[in-house]
Amino acid sequence: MPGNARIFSSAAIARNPAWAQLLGLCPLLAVSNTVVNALGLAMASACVVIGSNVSISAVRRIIPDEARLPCFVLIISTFTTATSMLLEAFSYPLYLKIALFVQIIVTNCMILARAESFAARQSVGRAFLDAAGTAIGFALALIILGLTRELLAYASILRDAELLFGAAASDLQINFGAIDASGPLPLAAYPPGAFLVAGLLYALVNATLRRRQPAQTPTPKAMQ
Amino acid sequence: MVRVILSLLLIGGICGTLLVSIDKSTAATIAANREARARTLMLDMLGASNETNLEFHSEVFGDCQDWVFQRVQASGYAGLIDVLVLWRAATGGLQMRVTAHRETPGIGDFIDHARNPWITTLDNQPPVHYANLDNVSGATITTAAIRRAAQLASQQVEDYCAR
Repeated sequence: MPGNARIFSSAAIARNPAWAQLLGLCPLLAVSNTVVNALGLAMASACVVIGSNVSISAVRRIIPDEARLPCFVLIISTFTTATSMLLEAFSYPLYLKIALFVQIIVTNCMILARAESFAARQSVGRAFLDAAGTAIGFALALIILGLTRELLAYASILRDAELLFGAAASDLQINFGAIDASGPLPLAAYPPGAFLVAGLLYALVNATLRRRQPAQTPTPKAMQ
Repeated sequence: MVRVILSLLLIGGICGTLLVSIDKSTAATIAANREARARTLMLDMLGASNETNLEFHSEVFGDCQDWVFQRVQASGYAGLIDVLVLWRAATGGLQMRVTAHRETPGIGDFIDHARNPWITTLDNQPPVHYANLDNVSGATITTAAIRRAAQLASQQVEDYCAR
């Protein structure tokens, strides 16, 4: 696989921030009760991780080692604040629903981890690919969890789509029962349900990955 | 050491410039969004129609014979909490809605009526009821902020109507 494609796929799948590294779980569990909320947070996180990774890579040569961490936090918090302001200005109803979690993106270990371990050591192009992969990996985790929870809690998909896509998008909502009826597991809309669903999905992902790996027979040396 | 300070100043300057320019370009839209939401909340609290003239010309406005609206702020756990308060002359009770806060999600955000009906259960209670509110476990500073906001609102109404 070519180097650039490997950087991207590794960040999105093999080192998926949510499922492989278990980073950024607080907003992941809190906001993923519907697909639309999950998409909103995924887009906000993508803006921050891509913007901060590219900026950190661009200025990496002028940042001395001793000032690395404060500079990274300064840059990440700038992008978080800017994203929050843009969301409040141009998507106010969605902002009211997810604002608290957009503000705490600044403390998301996923973003600082990519800045520290990759962006600070690589060129702008490679940092962009890594950030895009990380953002897509986090978005996939958010959307899969949001889709599962929304189906279980509300028996619908794309509930409140107008919050993200405008008034015309309210027709996008698909209901598998009566409108505003509960789904088979209303608990999935709440934090305890988020832990249960995320735990089950995590187990499913691990089981699938292990099944795809060839069985390893322990060597006599390893058994000693 | 000099290099550390210079790099921090440079990065801080770039970040500050970026934030100031975004703030300038979004401030008017954000203010309009907040005003529209405050107006919707006020109409909802009054049970009034869309035609009712509800424009904040000052932090306190209204007719003391009927009702008074005001905006108050109190310090919560993670910064200021903005509260819209309606006082009704008929009952002497207060109705409060939080319009902006940064309390911890899942712990202190019960004050937001969109997430939790807690604050709506206090509607039209007299100020003394708010003053005796029990602390909510884990969010004592947030509860204290609501008590403080009610006290401020009650004092402001007295001053406003005494004029």
